[in-house]
Amino acid sequence: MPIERHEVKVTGMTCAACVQTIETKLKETEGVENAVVNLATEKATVEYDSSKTSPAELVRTIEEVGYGVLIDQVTLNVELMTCASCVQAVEKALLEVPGVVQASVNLATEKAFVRFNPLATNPAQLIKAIEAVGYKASLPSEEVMEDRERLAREKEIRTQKINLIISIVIAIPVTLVSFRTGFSGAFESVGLGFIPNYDDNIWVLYAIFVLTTITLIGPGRQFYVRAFKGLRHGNADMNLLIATGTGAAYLLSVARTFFDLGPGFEHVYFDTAAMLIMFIVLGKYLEAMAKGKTSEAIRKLISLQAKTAQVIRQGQEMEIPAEDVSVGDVVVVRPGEKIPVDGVVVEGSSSVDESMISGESIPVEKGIGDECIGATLNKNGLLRIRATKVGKDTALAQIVKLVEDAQASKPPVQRLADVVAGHFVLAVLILGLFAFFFWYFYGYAAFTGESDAPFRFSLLISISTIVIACPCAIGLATPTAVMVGTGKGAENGILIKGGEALENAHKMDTVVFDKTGTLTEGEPSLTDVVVQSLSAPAMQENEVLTYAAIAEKGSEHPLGEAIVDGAKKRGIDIPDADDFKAIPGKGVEAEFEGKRILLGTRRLMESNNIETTALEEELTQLENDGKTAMVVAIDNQAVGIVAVADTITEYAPGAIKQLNDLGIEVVMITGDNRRTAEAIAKRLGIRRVLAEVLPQDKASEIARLQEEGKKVGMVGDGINDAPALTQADIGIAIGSGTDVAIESANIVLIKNDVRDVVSAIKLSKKTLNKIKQNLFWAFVYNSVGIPVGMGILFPFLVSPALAAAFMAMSSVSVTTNSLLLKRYKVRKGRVK
Amino acid sequence: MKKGGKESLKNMGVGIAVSLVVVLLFILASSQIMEYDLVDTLAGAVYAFILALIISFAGVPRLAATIRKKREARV
Repeated sequence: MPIERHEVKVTGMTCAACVQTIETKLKETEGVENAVVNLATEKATVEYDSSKTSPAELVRTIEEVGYGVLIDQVTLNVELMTCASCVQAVEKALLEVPGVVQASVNLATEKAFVRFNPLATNPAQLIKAIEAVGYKASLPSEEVMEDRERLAREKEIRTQKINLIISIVIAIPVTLVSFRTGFSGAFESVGLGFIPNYDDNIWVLYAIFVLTTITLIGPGRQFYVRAFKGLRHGNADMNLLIATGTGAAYLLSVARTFFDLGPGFEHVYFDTAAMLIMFIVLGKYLEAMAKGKTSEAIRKLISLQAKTAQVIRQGQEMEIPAEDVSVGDVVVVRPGEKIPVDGVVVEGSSSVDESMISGESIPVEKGIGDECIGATLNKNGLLRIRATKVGKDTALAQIVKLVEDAQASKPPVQRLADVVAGHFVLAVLILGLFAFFFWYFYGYAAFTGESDAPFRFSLLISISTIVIACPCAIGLATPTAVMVGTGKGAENGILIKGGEALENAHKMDTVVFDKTGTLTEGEPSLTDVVVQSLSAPAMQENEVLTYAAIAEKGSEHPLGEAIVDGAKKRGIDIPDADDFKAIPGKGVEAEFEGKRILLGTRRLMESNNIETTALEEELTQLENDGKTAMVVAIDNQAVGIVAVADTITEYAPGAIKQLNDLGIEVVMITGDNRRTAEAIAKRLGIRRVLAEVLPQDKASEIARLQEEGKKVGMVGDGINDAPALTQADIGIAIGSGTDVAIESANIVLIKNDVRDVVSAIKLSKKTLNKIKQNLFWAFVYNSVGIPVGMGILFPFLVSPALAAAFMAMSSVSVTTNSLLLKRYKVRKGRVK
Repeated sequence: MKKGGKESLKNMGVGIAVSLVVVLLFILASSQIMEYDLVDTLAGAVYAFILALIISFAGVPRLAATIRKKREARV
């Protein structure tokens, strides 16, 4: 069964009920395996059986339930077409590109009109598809690739701004006239008697009728159209609540304007309808602006991509669009330019600012053979780089995809919100009807003491009940926080793969670190040089090290290389030995200027009858510290010790201390022998060590910890640790700057800095707190607001206009609360 | 007519019927028990009918789907 994944941008969603409606309809479509709709990103992600349905069918399903799908369109120039069959071939090639909804090729004009899902493909891929079947294609010069999503967002903000201005300009005079009529004396006493009164002048009434009608068919039209479309398919959403509330107030007022309805119907409620629309449009405007800010991180990431590249082809340097660079091309990057693709330096050296990808502010030195990440900034030297990854395979493209996927996913905490949202609007309408009946038949007479004309009073309470309810706050609570949280992580090189990972990360009570490459550098280096003070003549440290380095200079053993490197770092000039001999398993023997140098184990010294008793204490101490200690002997006399060990990474002790402070148990897992492992663990402050564990057994060790009831996080380099990363509740792959597509990890840390483990946990906690705050606020708001709207606090009643203001502010406040997360400093409070 | 279309019509019919019952009960209670005047009763009836209709249109298809699912599960 060929399961494919399709993403579309959905327009017209307003609340969690819309999400439920679209998800349900998509899941009911034959062939659809799963569908997830995200209100904040306005994206629907569908997994479907391509033999049973198609992207075009999915788009139709969404449109059928009253929502729109963002479809991009482009007209391409197509050359070399000669006949109708060429047209067929080009159309077929275009339609085979995933995401293309419509392709229409015109032979006469040599143009191809293509409608496509911008999330699935782009004009560059369309051109490639046409060229693959033997034709030439290009974008007309005026056609530039634009950020359609950004334009759509800007259009929405612009539209709502215009709607808001119209509704404010109308609502203010309509409300003043209504209040002037209702509170005539009060207005006159404060000098506002000049405002016309519709009781005295019927034309004033007609005027506010016309103005309110303009509001309803102008700024308010969107709500009625969407409510009607939804209702046709049995969907109840926020639009229905607004349409019902404003419609009822408006229709009653129209009836009063043109007919004499008798006592109790002296007033019109055009002001209620106009104010309702004004407040709700204000809310929509603020929400559109805030939503735009939540997706800023993704936009920032996309904008990092270099637009063009200088490529050497046929010996000449030429400028081409970055997406046209192929693997193997050599690109020239001058100082101050962005590196256009991932690649390896073949010529030149420079320092490269990788802060945009890794969050690390210090530039990284790059020379021949070093890997470079696309979108990073070349600071000061000219580099020639051979492209190794282009297009969707680059690290940046993978990061963008990973963050987009994470933002589209739902954390488990949202399940409750989804269940509630699914029935929320229907429940509110039922409560609205109930409130109407209650006050009409009982409350009005019982609480006000009046017995005539209960309709007007009951209607206003019913409208307030319907309008005060805010399903949008419930719908926006989780996705806005997830978007800001994952975006914030991405800006700092912490890629959280999905809502579930975000929610689970802070639940970890145990973090298992794979030792090599995570807590330690993974390569031995010189740690100690000990001088035997009783030797005659007594030597300096550097002298002992020089002899050791001379002996090891010809060696290819990692321990030997560590000694030579250590000596070089101390500025020691190492002459060549006159003679060199490796003694397998024991050490080396060399001749230098007539002196015999021996470097190696105790056994090597014993076999050469060299006394090491004076060094025994230091030897044992170094071995207890997990180091490999070697004795240096000159002319059969032990003169000192050189020790080599896998060094602890710079930030590991600080990170472990922070984890301990957070109450998280830290465990080290390694294949090393217990003595070495425990020595390193002791230096790091780790109490629990899982030593002598073979790579294939790491996953079962994690499982054993989980059996103890622990929530386990596993930190590894993502290559040989894959099974353990998968087994853990949260797998964290570290130091994967150029290979972020690590399937087995839940969190990818781009920089090789273990402190980011702590940052990821803190960010997860912070984001989850935000989600909980939002959900709490949304539920509490509705739980308190609806009964208040129903008149539970009588004689304190909420007018419909005030109810609309509350409703608009509740969704804005949820989004704004999520945006506050942007101020969180991910790396704050770090220790070295 | 498609199966889905038939079902929609059926749901719509049920919705209208339920709303009419609600309105009839409302008119009876308002005019006979509470003895409110005609304008109040009629205005209330119109509002109750519209709201009941909206609730039915949104609620009946869900109810029908739930019943269908339960029936299918039993089979």
